Amino acid sequence: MIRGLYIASSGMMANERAQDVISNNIANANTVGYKSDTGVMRSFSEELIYRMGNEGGNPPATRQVGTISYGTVLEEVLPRFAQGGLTESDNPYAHAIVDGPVDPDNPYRRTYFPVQVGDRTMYTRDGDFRVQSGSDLLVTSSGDPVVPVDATTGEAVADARIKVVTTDGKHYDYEFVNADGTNYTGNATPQFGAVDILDSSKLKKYGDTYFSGGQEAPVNGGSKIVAGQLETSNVDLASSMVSMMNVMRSYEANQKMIKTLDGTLEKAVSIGRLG
Amino acid sequence: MRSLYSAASGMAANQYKLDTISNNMANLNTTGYKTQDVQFKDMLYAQINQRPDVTALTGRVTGDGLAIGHGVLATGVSKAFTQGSLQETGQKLDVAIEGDGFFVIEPNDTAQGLEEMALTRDGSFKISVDEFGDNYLVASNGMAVHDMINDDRIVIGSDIRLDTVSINESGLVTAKDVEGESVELGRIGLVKIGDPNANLQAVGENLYRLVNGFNADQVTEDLTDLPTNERPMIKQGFLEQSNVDMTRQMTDMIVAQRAYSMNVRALQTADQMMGLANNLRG
Repeated sequence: MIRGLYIASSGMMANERAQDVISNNIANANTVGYKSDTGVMRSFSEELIYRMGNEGGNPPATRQVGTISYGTVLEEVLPRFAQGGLTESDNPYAHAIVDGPVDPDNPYRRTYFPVQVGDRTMYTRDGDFRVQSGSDLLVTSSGDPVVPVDATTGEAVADARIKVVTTDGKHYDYEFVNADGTNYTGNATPQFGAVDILDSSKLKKYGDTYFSGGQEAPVNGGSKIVAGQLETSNVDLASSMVSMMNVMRSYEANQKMIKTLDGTLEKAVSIGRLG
Repeated sequence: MRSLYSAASGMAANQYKLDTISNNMANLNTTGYKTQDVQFKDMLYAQINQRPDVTALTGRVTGDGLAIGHGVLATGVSKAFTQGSLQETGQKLDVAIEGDGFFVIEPNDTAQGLEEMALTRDGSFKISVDEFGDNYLVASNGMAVHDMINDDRIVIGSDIRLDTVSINESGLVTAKDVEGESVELGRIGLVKIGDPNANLQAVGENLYRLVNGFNADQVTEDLTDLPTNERPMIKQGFLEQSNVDMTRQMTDMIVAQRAYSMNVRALQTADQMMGLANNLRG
């Protein structure tokens, strides 16, 4: 009985977190390069219950009652890395990544633009780039510099920056510079491009549509960069709505369970009451 | 509950987008207006630690902990400096720019140097009279058009026949006086700004200013330095329409409105859930 109270409350807590995840998806339904999150719920592991006392008996009765799980938990929040739709942009520096077919050996292998945030290299699918006033560096719409990719290793060159040189009104070229704006002096051969992350599921969302962590690899033939387009958020509003209703009703059912158990306990308490 | 605040941030961001769309629609017929667009980014994620037995479960795909987001933030507004379509007006003093140029306007009598000047794409010029009775060329808001030759405003003498004013593609203004002599009145200030989103700031009344720390390499004051195919050109008798695409604005409006109402639903759901928790007892 008391056990039931805690099980139902674990259900309420898990659903509350699931609602947080869904709300965040809905809020980001128009965020360029956003990947929707899926809350994965799992029941706590089954535990075997033994009866106490009554050890004797002839023949000795089995003491095993059976197994029970102590409720549920929001186990993980997994971003859905499916391709977002492409939309045309007036921004001359806009780029979008189109993923190739899924690599069967690395199902979470995806392509990203590398971005330098402080001293960390992060990855983003948001190619709505800008040119920073004054320095002419290519930056994301939150102002962090986009870093080039090494032509030979296919990895991000964290100490280089991309400088935009306008050649005429519509077309432009890139120059590669050090972080302080001087001509690039490192050993890599930088070029504008993207990197592959072998297992995107291990990436952590940072905010600003950045992902951090992950192991880099050269871009696999399949994916390509398209200029003049942006990748829209891959949030599915209809299924978010359905999940939200589902979460809400499940939350309600758990609440009802608690109330019912509370009512039953009330009865138990009143057995001994006088008058 | 984060959900309430995430939904509220989504409402705020979409409201911001709707405001921008309204502004674009309101300026559908503003000469030289450039469409604005809002960028969204997701907010920071809270990293929630989990018990080791949960993170070690078989079949788990992600790494340790739960990353739960806090909604969305409108990070910035950018303008699309694409060419607006040219409309023929037949007015002698209406000019339009084809290419990446801007007219130079003197916001007041003391403005000197390009940093203090205002820039515009709106070429519906008029003639104004100052307190000494001199006629001079002004932009539609009454500020003087800068003359590149004399570094002053473009004065139009009283003996000039206004119906003979001719403006060539580099902005040179010529007219005939009452005796039929051709007179050079000045050259309409025209500069090329590469990357206007990074170097210009909109200040209202169709005007832009150079931002602090603008990149001088992107600003070309003497257009003859450029190859001919990259020079912005002036066309007399035309005005540049705003580049607002009504269909796209309507589509964006529907998207923003629907996203707004979805966020409202998320807010209501979170509220109902809190109500349920509140009613656990009683």
